[in-house]
Amino acid sequence: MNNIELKSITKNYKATCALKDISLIFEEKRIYGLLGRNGAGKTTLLNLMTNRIFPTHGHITLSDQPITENDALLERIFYMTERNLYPESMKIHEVFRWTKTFYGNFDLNYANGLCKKFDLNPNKKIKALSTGYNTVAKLIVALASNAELLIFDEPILGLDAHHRTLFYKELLAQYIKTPKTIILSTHIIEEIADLLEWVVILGNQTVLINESVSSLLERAYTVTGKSSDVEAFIQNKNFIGLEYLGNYCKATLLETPNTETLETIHQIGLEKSKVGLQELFIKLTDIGGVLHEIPKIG
Amino acid sequence: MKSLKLANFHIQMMLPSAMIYYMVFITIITFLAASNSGSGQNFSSSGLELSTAIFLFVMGLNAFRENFNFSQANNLSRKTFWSGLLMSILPIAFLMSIIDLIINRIYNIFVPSPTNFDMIYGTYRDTGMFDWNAMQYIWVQNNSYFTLISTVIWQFAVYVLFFILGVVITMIYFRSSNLLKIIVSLTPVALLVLLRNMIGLLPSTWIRGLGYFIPTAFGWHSRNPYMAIFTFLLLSLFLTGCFYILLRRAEAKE
Repeated sequence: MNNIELKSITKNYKATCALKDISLIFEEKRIYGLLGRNGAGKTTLLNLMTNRIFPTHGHITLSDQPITENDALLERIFYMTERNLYPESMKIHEVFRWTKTFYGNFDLNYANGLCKKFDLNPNKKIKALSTGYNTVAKLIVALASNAELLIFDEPILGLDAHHRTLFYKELLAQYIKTPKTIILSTHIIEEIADLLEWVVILGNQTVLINESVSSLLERAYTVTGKSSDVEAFIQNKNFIGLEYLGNYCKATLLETPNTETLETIHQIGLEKSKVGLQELFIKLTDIGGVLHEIPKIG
Repeated sequence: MKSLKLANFHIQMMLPSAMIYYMVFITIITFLAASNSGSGQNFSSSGLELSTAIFLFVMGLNAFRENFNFSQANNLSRKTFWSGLLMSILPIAFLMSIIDLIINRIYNIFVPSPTNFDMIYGTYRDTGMFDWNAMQYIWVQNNSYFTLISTVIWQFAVYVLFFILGVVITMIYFRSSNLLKIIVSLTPVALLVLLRNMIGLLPSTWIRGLGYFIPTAFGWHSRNPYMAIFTFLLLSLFLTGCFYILLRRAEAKE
């Protein structure tokens, strides 16, 4: 199995703990969303998985073999970072040529085809590219690498809506053609929500959620109604967010509603609705309840 | 062999700089040769190939960050980066050593110009450059096969050492915190001052031993360039070990 497995990973930066005792398995041929607020440790986790940095404790394996300094395993992973790691004076077509040297399956024709689709001139130097086109160039390299595991850290940084849509379509088309493990780490959750099969949410240096998107969204729901009714309803329930608007209130809950619960909702006269992934993420990572405290005070 | 591929990348990255260096170098010595021929051979020069060693030292100082980032972009291990970078300097240093020898031999037709090798191991040590009694240049360059081959190998060993020294210095700074960077920067100066003041306190046998060891290690007494080549090789090996230790846990920085 081409699973990538993290076992009891802790990463400290001097006195700061970025990740604490994390254990995770990224299974093959799945599209993952790695979500978390700023500083949650997403990039740290991805850097650890690709041997860019080293864990303070724990170890990481790919196909049950330690990934550390293992060229044979590392070449099966392509990691597109937010940061540009290519020489500034290098031209795009040179980046393709060199990537082909290190990634044997790199598809040069596909890369050139993508350049046309994204309207990127391959004769341009890296330093001459705008933020958006810099991202486009890196996306093309990643997509054409044909690596078994594609990791994207902030893949849509600076991209316009057209380029973003094009990227999602290309990614999905490639996944359908040759299924592979894809990990997307981004803050633009709404746009990628439909692509994701599985979601990993980081917070408080640890994993808050690690489950399939469909099961997570099935579990989550909101109830809206009079504040007193909603407050009474959520007693002894796993609510993750409360929003007040005058006398009305909306509560977000994370537990599969049983028949009894559904009947209660109906009897009290509350309105039940679904929750989107982004909204759910916001509620789950609202550490200290800052978001629902503000309107309450107001 | 990913190391070889990476070495190829490093070489291609270094080539434009090397070409610019030689363009500037050749322009300057052509100007010198022309001005000397025009004024009836009234000056000489020596050890010009030291500039190549300095150039490679600077290349070594600049060889790390960009190449390391590139290797990280392609998910290469640090071992591969280490061996790739070290492999890349071998053909570069060898080629530059040959080019320097050729340039020197041509330049020497117009301007008497012993190489460092000539000055350390050749007749230059005995005769000097100029006979002040006869008022003429008396030094004649030795062009025997042994001298030519030894010069190339000796220069190659020096160039490799200077390049790796540059890489290691960069690595030390790369791995150091701000405080450590200051300490590292001040250490050579502090050592020099300390040595200057301490030398009188050291046992005279130590001083004599050192005075004998250093020239011997570089083949000065025996006029054996291969002693120096061996010493340069040992120093290079030591530095590559330091490079590996420093690189082992290195992480790409902003």
